[in-house]
This record gives sequence, structure tokens and C-alpha cells, in this order.
Amino acid sequence: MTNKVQNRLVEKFISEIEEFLQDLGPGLREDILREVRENLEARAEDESGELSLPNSLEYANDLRQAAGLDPVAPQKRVFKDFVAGIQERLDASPVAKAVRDFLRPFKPLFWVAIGISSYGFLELYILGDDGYLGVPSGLEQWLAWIALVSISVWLGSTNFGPLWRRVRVIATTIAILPMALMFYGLSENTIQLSDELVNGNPASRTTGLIYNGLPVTNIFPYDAEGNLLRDVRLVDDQGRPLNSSVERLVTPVVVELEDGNLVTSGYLRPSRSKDGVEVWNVYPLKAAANPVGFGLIDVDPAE
Amino acid sequence: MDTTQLLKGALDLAILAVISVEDQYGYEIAKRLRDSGFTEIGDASVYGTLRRLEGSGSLKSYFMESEDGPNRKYYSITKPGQIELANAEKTWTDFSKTMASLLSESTLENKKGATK
Repeated sequence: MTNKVQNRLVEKFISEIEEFLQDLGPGLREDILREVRENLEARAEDESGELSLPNSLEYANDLRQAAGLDPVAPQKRVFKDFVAGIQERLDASPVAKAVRDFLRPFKPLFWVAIGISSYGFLELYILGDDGYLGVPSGLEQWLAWIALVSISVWLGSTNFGPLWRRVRVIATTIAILPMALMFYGLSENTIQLSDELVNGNPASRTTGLIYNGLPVTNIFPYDAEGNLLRDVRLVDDQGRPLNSSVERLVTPVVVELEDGNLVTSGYLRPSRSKDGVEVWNVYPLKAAANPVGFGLIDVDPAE
Repeated sequence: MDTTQLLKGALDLAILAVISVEDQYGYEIAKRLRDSGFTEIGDASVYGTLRRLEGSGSLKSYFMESEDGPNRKYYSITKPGQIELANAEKTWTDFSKTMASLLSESTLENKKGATK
């Protein structure tokens, strides 16, 4: 047995013993664990690296009984036995070992995926960004994305004590849900985007103005003499402002004919009201050359 | 006969006896007990007993530097521990004498029965 393997087994054994001593005060628990470690190290030295470790539950119970303490709580024992049984079966199975060995190099990727999906969940369901397609749209979003991925990778690669390890297992289990929801949200957004871009079909859209089943991208109001009105905001009979259907997703690029060729000159963007809110049903839309700055470039509504 | 329970009952006395000769740390005490024939006693029982005896005031502990690694926790017997050891030694001697006497009588009777 190599020193590395032996050290890992010793650490695992000690962490199991620690689990069985959770009801003791931290000082007493640490003191006992320090002696257990000392004992195992001395034994390993005497036994020339062929250290055989006893069953951790039996060891903990022997120790507790001799020290005049209650035995390990029965429900914990049942659960621990159950987990230990699964672990033993997995350890004994060559297939499980092969799968584990195969997946081990991908472990960092798993934590990156957890970080990305947590960010996606945040964008889609907490911040309510319906247009999120899996890539952050601005500097702040990228910073948040990097922060979440970094935290996730750090959580996955750090060796914690048993308590934090348990917290990490619970957090990871919970993070599977955002991951599933994010994939669902992304697939919904992607399907909707491709549907709208390719077919002009907004069937699944439930917000904004629809005309003959198609999204209304802008509204052009005229006065009684037929003059186009500028900087107008339309409201319905209850005073609610009317918004066009497809704010960010449809026709984001201005296509122009130049020397007989179609060229893209920028992204359509709305005028802004005085308080800086984008007003989509105000004619005309502005063309912004920088797509990254979409929604961020200040446009004077008076233009 | 399962000797484990019997040995556990006598473990306090055995540990006090080992430490009364010389201050020792946990692993050395367990090893000394095993070398003396207490092969069935696990290290966990030894450490648990040490903790209980320290808690009851029969032993006290101190740390001493080790050449091989971190500081070791040594145990030494206290005055109350020595009194406890003396009492337990007397109890054990009386008990073993009584038991030995009983067993020798029983053996004698069995031999007589066998020769009839």
C-alpha cells in the first residue's frame, strides 16, 4: 500500500470517527481524534505500511463505551451502515471502479457546469432575463458568471471537514435542480428565438403586441393630416403602455443595401424616455453600431 | 468462553498497572497490553478507558515532544489513581484466589468422579 493511499484511508477513517463523535464538545472531540490519528500513525510505522483499519463504527462504539459515553445513535448507525454497504459494493465492483476512474478527470468540468448552470438559473429565473441564451451579455454579467464559476470550482476542489463536506453534498444536490431548469429555460428560449427568426412565428410568445399572429415590432402613429408623429407613447384604454412584441430577439440587425449587396450596419434600438427607460413603440428606432453596447448606449430621445 | 468482556472488566486495573510503572502515551500502553497477552483488547477500548480514567482523576496527562512527529499525550497516575490501583489489585487478588480455589475444588471432584 502506498503512503498516499494509506494516508487517504486514514483521513477517511478519522472523518468517519468524527461523524460518530458529533454529539461531543469540539474540544473533547478534537482531543480524541488527535489521539486516534497519533495511534494510527504509530501503527502504520510499526506495521511497515500495511496498516489494517478496523470498522469505524465498531471502533467508535468501543471507544465511546470504554470512555463511559452513550453508543452511537441508532438512526445514525442504520444510515451509516446503509451508506457504508453501498460504498463497499461500489469499491468491490470493477465496473464501478472503471466508471469512477474514467469520470475522475472530468470532475473539474462538473464543477464548472454547476457554476454555469447556477448563473443561468440566476439570469433566467431570479433576474427574469427571458432572452438569456447561455452567454452573458455585458461586463457585469460576465463578472458574475466568472465569480460563480470560480466559487463552484473552489468548492469542488477544496478539502473540507465532514460538516462542510456534507453541506457541499447538499448544495450540489440542490444545484442539480437549477441545472435542469436552466437547460429547460435555455431550450425554450432557443426554440423561440429560432422560430421567430426563421419562421417569424411568435406562437409561443405571450407578451407584447401581436398582429395576425405575428409580432408587432414597432408602431407608427400618424395625425389626422397624415403626418408621422414622433416621440409618441401609446397606451390602452386602461392607461397601460403598449409594448411591441419582440424587444431584443427579432430583427436585431439593420440590413441595408449597399452597392447592390446586403450589409448589416448595426442593431436596432429604441428611443429612451426621459427617465432612461427604453420606449419601444416610439418611432423611429435608432441603429446602434456596437451590438455589445446594445441597450447601454445613451440615445437622446429628442433626436 | 468469550474473554473480551472479562478483559474489558479488568482493563482499568491493567492500564493503571502499566502507567504506574512509567508514564506512557496511548499507543505504547496499548502495545504493552497486547505484548502482555491482552491481544483481544482493541486500541479504541484502551483510548476510551484512558479518557474515562483521566476524567475520574485517576490519571493526568501532559504533552511531550516527539522526534517522530507531533507532540504526544502522555499519561501519568495520580494519587487517587494509585489508591484505586491498590484497591483494585487487592480486589482482583482476592477474586482470583477465590476463583482459583473454586476451580481447583471442581477439578478435584471431577477427577474423583472419573476414577470411581
